[in-house]
Amino acid sequence: MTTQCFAPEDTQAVVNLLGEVCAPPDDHVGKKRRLLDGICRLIKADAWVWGLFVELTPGEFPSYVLHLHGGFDEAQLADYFLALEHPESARFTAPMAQLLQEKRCHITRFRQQFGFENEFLNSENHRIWQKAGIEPGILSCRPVDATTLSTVGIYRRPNKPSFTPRDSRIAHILLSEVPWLHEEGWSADRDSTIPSLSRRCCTVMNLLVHGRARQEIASQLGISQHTVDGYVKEVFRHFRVHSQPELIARFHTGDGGDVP
Amino acid sequence: MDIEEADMRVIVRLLGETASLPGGLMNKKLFLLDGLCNFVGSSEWAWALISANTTESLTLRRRIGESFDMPVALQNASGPIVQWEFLPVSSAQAICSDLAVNSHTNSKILLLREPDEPEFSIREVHLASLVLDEIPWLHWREWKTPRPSHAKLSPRLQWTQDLLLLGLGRKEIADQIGISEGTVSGYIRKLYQYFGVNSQAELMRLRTQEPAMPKTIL
Repeated sequence: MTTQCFAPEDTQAVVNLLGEVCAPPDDHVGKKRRLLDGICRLIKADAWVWGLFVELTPGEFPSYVLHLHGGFDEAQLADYFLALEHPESARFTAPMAQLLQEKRCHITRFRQQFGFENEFLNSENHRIWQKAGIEPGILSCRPVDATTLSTVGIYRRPNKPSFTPRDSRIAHILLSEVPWLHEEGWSADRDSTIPSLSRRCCTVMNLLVHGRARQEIASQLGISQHTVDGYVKEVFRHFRVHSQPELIARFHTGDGGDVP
Repeated sequence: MDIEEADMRVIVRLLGETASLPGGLMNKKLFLLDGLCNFVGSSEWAWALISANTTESLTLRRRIGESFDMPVALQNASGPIVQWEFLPVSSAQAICSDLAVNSHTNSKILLLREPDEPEFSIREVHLASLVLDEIPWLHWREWKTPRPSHAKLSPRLQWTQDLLLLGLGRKEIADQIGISEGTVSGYIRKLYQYFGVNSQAELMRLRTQEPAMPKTIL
């Protein structure tokens, strides 16, 4: 096995960043944000998300709840959910799902390492990602129990150069050796019932959790408000809640500083 | 000099643990310096703030493995630069990091080995210096965020408070600063009044939320 090394400017930047994360304020959410914003700075990324993937199965729609994100505006976030909801996304998350099933350990990869590049660039899914203003970049998944993956996605704007092994190595060492990133911030059941939601319901649920009004959801998804009402009812019934604040509280993460 | 992944992992893990530690700057400083000593095989560390104004100078020494409330005060805490001449170390046995904290104060951190132990390797010096030089707050006394409740404390009161927050007793504080226990008692009374608390534990909880000192070291 060859030994990987870190260049002096990278080690300094990593140590600087962690030094900043040590400083107050000490709230969990704030620290997570500072760390992820900092990683983006180090590897010249434009956006990040942190959330849970539940029962990521090769070839199937990825069920997820997004807890924190940075570098997205409101419309971009909705488009991001739509990109994940697209039927083709299952194909592009399949190699990662496969790898995780085999290894059951923290894995970090960037898109170009999966060998579906041409297929991806010519896909309908790619166009939706471009509309969202980002492209899939680095995916870093850590199993937290039998079905749940604590997942960080790191993205660049379209038409920027691909991430490199150096970028991925820096992201991986910071995300895998800082365990508290993956140890709190989710609801008690680790959102294990999410996979039984339909794709569209999963998207609506994520928008609701991020505080979006029904009207906004309708316009961002390009569907009628009446249709949204139907999905919202289904989501509420699924989680046995009666209002959006109740739903948000159910997904309450950390001190709530991330939920509008 | 490049750093191998295995070493980088240890440093990231140590800093990650430091970040998740409850408590104030001193808590984190102790944890990080202890961890660093263990990592590079050093038995003791020392930190000194050397000010042009001698009354503000502060030194702290800690031997790894000794219980926390027993830091050995330097023999003569009254003079600034002179103190370093009392340190029984040769330069070969110390890794040193120097930083100007402000225009009139310098901070020095030393990681020490006994004279009869083997010399620090280049790798060890490099790894320790990386952390000591790139984490500015290791050289600070408190976070550089404005704390109004702090602004009015005199340097001596501030120093006493720092040591109280570290969990030191009255006698140890007196030894560390080089003043009488009676004077320390006066300072402590003033501090309790100032913060509206009745005990050191309360003061520590107030400032650090969790007064317990970390025990896990790498």
